[in-house]
Amino acid sequence: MKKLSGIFLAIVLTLSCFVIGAGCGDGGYQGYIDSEGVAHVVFMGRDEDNEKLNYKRIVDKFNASQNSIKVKLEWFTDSSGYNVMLDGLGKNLPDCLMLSNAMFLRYVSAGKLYDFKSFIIEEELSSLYTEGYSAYCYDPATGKLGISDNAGMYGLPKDMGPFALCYNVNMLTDCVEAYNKANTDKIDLERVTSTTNPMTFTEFITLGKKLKPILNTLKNSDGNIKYKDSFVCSAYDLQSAVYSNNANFFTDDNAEELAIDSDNFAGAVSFIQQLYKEGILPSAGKSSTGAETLFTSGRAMFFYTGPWKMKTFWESVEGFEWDIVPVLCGDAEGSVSTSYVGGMGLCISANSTVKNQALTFLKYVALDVGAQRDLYGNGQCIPNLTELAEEFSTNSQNLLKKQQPLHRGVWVDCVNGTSETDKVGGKYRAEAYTYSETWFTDLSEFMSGNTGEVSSFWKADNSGKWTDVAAALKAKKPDFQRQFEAVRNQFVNKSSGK
Amino acid sequence: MTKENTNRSTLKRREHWTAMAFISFKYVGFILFVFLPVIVSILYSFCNYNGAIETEPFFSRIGALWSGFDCYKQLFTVYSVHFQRAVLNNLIFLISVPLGIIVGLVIAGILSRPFIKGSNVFRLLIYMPVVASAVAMNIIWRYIFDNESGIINKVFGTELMWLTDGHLLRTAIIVKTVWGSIGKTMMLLLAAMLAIDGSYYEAATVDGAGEFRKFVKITFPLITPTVFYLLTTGVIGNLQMYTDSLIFAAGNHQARTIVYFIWNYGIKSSLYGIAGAASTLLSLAILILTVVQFKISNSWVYEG
Repeated sequence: MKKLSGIFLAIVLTLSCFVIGAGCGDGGYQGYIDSEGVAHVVFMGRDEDNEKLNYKRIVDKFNASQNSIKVKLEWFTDSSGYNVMLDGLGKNLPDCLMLSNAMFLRYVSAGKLYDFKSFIIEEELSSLYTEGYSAYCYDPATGKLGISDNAGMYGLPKDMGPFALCYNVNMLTDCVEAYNKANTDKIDLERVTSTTNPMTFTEFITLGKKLKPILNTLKNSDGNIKYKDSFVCSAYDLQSAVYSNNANFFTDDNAEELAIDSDNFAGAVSFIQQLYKEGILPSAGKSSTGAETLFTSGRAMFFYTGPWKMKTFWESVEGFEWDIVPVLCGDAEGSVSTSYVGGMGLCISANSTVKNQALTFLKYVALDVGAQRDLYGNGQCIPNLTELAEEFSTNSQNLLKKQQPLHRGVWVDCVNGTSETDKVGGKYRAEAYTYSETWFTDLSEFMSGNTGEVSSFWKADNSGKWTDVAAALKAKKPDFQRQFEAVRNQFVNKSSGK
Repeated sequence: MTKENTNRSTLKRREHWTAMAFISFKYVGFILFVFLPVIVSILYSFCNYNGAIETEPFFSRIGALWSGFDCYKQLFTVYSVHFQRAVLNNLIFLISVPLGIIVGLVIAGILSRPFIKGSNVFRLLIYMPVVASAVAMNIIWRYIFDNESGIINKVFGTELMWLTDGHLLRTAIIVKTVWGSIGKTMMLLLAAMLAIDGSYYEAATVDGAGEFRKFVKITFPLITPTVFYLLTTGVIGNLQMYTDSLIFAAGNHQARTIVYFIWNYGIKSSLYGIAGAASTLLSLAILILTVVQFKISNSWVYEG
């Protein structure tokens, strides 16, 4: 019987090894060239189902136009699951994949991505916005992102963001008219909706204080409150506030030292705190309705949004017009309205056996006029190509399913780095300069009071006292810096793939 | 050897192989999904293995990646605030284990009375949370405890910040966990109660014992093996809480557990060493607690 048990154990172990061996295979995510010479490329991406449909259409069109390359789309709706799965694949990444800015640095520094700089001609490069691709340039010798002589090119933009301040045109117009009727210090609606000279933090707070009392008392002709339970602004983006107040999360773009204790950084955070203090934003932690839903359901005058949300807004906004203006400009000296640019890049695995074919597909998605028209027309993004900026802004090709937002060119201005008056710009999101985004989540949690170390920055404590933003950030910086460095050290110079 | 003996031996061997074939699936599953991951996780904890940047298989570079107790040290230095908070939260949430048993015991006691009509319906209703999806339950409880429009605040006319205030959030999780556990505790305790020989109670009645005395002297001692089982498995399960932190508390620091820490600072950040170290410590804690419970059980669990 003992002998039998031994045999049984050996069989079980063999079976286990067999299953492990099968599991450690390529997992079916890597392409190949079949016996007829057709290259099969795997393209992996993630995001909402809406996006999947857009990319499926692009893949189908590409496949229909090619005889020797066939692309297979693999799609994930869960971003965390997608990221962990990619990590788990090791060097066996799919041939062509979407990588968020927050993940790009760790993959490129590990040598997992293919440098296709020599296969991109100058004409192709000049058709793109510099801000659109510079974050996918990387110099392995210095470990720095950005365009330089020695930097390779490891990705093309899938989309470029950026955020802008969206507003409910009807609500704003109604409230401003009502206010101007009853007051002598009139609100200049043109100033509020300027697309080239954005309002400052102070101007916005003044505007909010003026409109807040009107908003919830304005009545319809039938005597009912017109905008019941509504807010001047449903949420404000922290990164845009920081960048627009001439501040940064780091002392420089090497992202080695946090600069969350700088005066300008504290000023930007204090601005958002002021929005809560004045009741311009809904009380923190009280509203169960998401900020986006508040806006799309007509209960918020201002919010922020990017071009990737166009399709969602087209489907969910009903009964009012909406438009966009650049994010607010900070009050600090030298401030420029600066929203975060970037989103995801399209990259190729360094280990792919069908790199050239993957690059052909990647160029089709990012550089082909038809594909770009298809994507922007479906409310996916602003076009990557500078030559399409004008037609996107004016919808001259009549491709957009809906006209809103009318001033969609503001998004292009942010990426372009300038407007007519040089008062609008963009900068890559802070996580793009680091190897892990945990620090940013922790910073947000700290400010929300969820760590229990300070009261929330966004609401007064039980005694009615508000957190001193500058002091709290200064006190916390060493802890953040220590953790930030520890994580960074886990990535820098540890790669086996270099 | 006679022909009859040979046939019996062949039959026995065949039976043995058939049995082995049936249980082999379980063994393969155990080796693949429990035993090997535990071993690999322990190895990770002694290495600076970074899933995102490594391009070579872990085992081929284990020597180069070996970092001794560095990851363990980091848990108590770099990540001390987060890790200690997670440990503390887990310890606080452990209160829901005895609470769940006590509530389950009370309900089982009531349902075991012969005069309770429709006892089976109650049992079914109380047991339902056990078979419901943890994710769905967490989402529903979020609606119940919602700060603004939650049923609890609406019914009691309060404005308590259940989902944002640390103390209230933890209280809500304990309430929710107790609710989720009473189905199982009630069912097992009820089964244990009903299995008690009625002659004990008859004898106690003859001796003039009241209901409370019967419970203390007969019922409870005889159901202690079930209570012990519930306590042990409850503690193990409770220390592995995760969905409450992720879904119910939406990642709020003040309700993060050790498993959430492992996910957030380890796996999600590709720092498998940190994840491995925290997992190993958690496993050790569970092991020690279980051994201690077994040791103490000698003094209070009835063994027939």
